Amino acid sequence: MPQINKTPKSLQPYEFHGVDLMWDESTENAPALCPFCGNDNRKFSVEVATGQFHCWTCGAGGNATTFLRKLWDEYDRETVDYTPLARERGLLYPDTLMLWQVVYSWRLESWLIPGYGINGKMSQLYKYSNRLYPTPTLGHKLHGMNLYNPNHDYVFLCEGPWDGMSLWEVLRYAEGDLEEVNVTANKQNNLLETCSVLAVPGAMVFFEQWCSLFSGKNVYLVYDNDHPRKHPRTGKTLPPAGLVGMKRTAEILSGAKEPPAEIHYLCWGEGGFMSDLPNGYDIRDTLSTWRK
Amino acid sequence: MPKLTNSLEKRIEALNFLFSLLKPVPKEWLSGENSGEKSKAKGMQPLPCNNYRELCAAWKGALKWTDGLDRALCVMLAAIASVETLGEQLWVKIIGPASCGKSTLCEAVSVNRRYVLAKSTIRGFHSGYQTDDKAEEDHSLVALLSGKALVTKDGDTLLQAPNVKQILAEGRDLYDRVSRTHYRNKTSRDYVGVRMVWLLCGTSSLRSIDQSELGERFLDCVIMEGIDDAMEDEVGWLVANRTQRNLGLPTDGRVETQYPPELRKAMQLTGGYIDYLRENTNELLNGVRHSPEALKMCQRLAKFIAIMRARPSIMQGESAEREFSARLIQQLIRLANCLAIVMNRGELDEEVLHRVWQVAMDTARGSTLKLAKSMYEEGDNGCAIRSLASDISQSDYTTRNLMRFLRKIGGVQCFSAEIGKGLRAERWRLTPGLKKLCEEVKAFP
Repeated sequence: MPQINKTPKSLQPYEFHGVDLMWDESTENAPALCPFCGNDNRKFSVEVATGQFHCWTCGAGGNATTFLRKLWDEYDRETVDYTPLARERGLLYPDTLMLWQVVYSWRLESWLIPGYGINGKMSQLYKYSNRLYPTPTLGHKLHGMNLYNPNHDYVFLCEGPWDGMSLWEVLRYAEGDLEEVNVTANKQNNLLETCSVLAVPGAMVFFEQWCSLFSGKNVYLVYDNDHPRKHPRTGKTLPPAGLVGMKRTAEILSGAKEPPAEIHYLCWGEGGFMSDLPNGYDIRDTLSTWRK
Repeated sequence: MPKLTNSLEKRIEALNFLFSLLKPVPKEWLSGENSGEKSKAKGMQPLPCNNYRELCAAWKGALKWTDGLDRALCVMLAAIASVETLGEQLWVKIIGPASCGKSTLCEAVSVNRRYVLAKSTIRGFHSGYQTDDKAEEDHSLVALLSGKALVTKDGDTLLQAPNVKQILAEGRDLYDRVSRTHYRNKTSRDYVGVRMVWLLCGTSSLRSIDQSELGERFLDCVIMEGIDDAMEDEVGWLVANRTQRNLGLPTDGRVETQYPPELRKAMQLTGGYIDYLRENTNELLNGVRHSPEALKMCQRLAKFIAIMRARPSIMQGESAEREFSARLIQQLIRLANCLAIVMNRGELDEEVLHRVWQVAMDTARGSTLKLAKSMYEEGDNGCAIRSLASDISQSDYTTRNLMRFLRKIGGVQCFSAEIGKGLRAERWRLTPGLKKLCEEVKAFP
């Protein structure tokens, strides 16, 4: 039986990040231990009506997004070893995680992956715990915007941040073009000089306000190799989720006021999937395990 | 999941493999209907139609086609047809009780997504939301509305919006086709020459925006004022039979399958008829003949509405004034001409003028009209305040205030009448001018 979260929406982002707020239905300001200065006199509080927080000791204050940014700053100051996570996620270089601004939350004992608005500002933190959980009420955001360069002509759009990181770190050491790619150590000549990599949180997540990032560019949609599946109740065969997601994204992009110059997609095979490869096989899997 | 082991060199090989799988997206993926507007819904496709009689026949086959619905559809189509013609805009409130068919008509005109923008709730016409450095991306509703009709199928929802006053004020501003805004994030939006109409549907509670200082942009069209018992039984029996008959029809989530076939066809034809009207508006309007009498009638009706819908100001109590009838004259003449092209008439004939008269009476409807009717029927004898208060179900105090207001704007006069030997009492009657106007427009036949 699913549990209904009775916490007011305005407080959910704070509770999600481990702030132990004291509140009941009559509470106007929910006090808590300040996550920034650690003052335990309950001088930190969140206004239930607006979701604004304020600490009367250290002066920190703002809305839930400001809270996330301050939290991220705090975690970013801590030195952590990225190697175990890089190994677990099949990444070659731990600094890829650092450059994608992944941080470790000692409070949640989880890794946090940032999401950004199209202005490049962080406005979401996803908690990684086997899968990614967004901070409630703040909506889905794009990954990789901190490394996005608006002057680049090519943009790869991946499904999920791990795919984005995996592709990004390989492009960082690759030169050539889409016909043939070779290894290079020359930072002036690698593919990241002309290509940006962004990632959506899921195949079916794409918002029209993101379209401006892709305007006039060559866009490559590289989503997962999902297999068709049966609807659990009707028994009808549903098309591959990755393919449906790419189609939806292409439709939205092409309908934008200023659409991309070209849109390409990763055609895994006939019908949009490759049956020889496992269901859900993605860019990261391909890069880390594929052999001729 | 396979173990992750590849070196950089192997990954570059894998990257080559991935790049070899990249293909341009198929053309059918690009044929989405998301252009400009952020809508995911795919609607029905309009069917070609250029004949009002054919359209009516389709509607008659789909549901119990009452005079009220016919009139409402005509007025909606006339308003949509008028969007890009010169002059005052035709903004219309379609009023009727719940379940009288308003939403069906709204959905029908909304089939045409080229000229109609249907929105159930709005948070305002303007937006200063900035998504790019130069604020070039315009998130305002106004940007989507230019050249279109905004259809709000449930205006009662609009009335519940916390910023309803702001929405209406922005609407007033837009009515003049020019709107300039500035936001606190250094973003400015200036709109000049915005052509649009607003069709606002809802129950009688929509009249709450009728205070003449806010609601004067709208004409009213009432589908049915009260519920006629016999008609309700007749319509109810038809609905019962149709419901039973349609129970077996499957629906798969597509809009097309959400309606019975006859209704779907009527809606699609309505969408197609809008295409016909909008694509040929100027040619059709140029072909409409008019007589001086028809124009005179519109002018008199406009003045009648201006007096009848005048109310004491809720904003200020210093001066009593009513709206000048010039805007209403333009609106009624445009309505008459557009109704003529909707009904495939070559002139402003009796039928067209009758519909204009009905819209005028619907717009004039309210306490003042009831008072005027009572006083008109009593003639020179006049009415006592208590009797008038009883007619409009208001207190003596409220009624007296309204009568004083009407006296100030020249609609009524107060006099002392002899009610018995040596006994005199205060009485109210219409001024000769208003009485004559009522006769001219046949307000109380």
